[in-house]
Amino acid sequence: MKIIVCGGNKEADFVIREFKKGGHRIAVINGNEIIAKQLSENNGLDVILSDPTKIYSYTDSNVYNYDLIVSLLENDEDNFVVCKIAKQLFNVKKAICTVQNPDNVAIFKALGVDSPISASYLLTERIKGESDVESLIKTLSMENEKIMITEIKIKNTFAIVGKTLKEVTFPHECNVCYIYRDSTMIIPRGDTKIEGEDTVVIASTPNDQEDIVSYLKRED
Amino acid sequence: MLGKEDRKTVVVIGSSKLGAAIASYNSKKGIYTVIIDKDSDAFKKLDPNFSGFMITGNAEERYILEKAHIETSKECDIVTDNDNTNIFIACLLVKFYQIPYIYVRLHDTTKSILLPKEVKIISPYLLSMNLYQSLKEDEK
Repeated sequence: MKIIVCGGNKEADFVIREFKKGGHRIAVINGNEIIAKQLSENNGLDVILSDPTKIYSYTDSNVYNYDLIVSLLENDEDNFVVCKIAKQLFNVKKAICTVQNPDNVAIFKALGVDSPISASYLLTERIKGESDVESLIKTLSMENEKIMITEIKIKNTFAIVGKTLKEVTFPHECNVCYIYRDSTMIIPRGDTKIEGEDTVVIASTPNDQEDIVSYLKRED
Repeated sequence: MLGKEDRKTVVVIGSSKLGAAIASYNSKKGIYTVIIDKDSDAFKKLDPNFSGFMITGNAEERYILEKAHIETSKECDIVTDNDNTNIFIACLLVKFYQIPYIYVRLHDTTKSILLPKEVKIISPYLLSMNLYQSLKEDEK
């Protein structure tokens, strides 16, 4: 892929490094002399020292028909203009940018920016996701969200109470890592019985997590 | 939807020298005028007789625009000192509201191409250049 990275500092450095690892062709435009120099030195590539919101920056660097532009400027409206220049005038296929104002995610999308990314928007979505499962369930993701660790407090009313692990047929593959009972940790075996008020900790894939949790919570 | 005749308000975005002058001009003509700026100090540039409304806030936020009743306005003049802000707001207005007249000030004329065709551009550069050329012709 041919990618343009505009603006940014540390995040630009990270993005460039990752793209470079992936073997993509990268054009970097940065308006700050010190940052431009650092990006160039860190990544061993030429950085175009120019204001990314100016049309001539793109004409000069000859970035027609690139596949992707990533705009990491501080101001939302500057990022908007960068994405618009790239898509409208230089035929760049896809535009991604950061936005400060979470409300701009929807507005930018409506105005043709493919992926506006807002840290606070993502954070809120994440919090909503976390609170979907009741407060007695805590989750932790590991290995870039490929593994979910779920901690669930067993109520006395759950159907699973009194069963041994051998008798429990989980809907998906998962592993009961430990059971916490009366301030002690129990490493479970097949004949370990689940009791009310236990805290059970399970490792699974994120896709299976919801099914496993609702299976544990069944009361009939 | 409202017809052009039912719409009377003029909304001015950015109380720059030009913005304040446009707002004062419309207000003097008895037109209901609203001016928006991030900085309330900027309203000091308005004519002392300005009788319109002043809203302090960021016009990139839709709730600020709606406070100014942008959806029923006849004209919107986008004249902040930042071209990129002006372009963003112009695109937003064209996309979400049906305003009959939108005027945008652009310092960098090369960016005119980024604006929707519904928008009319005020270019200080072109105006100055035209004046310069006519002054030159007067020399002869």
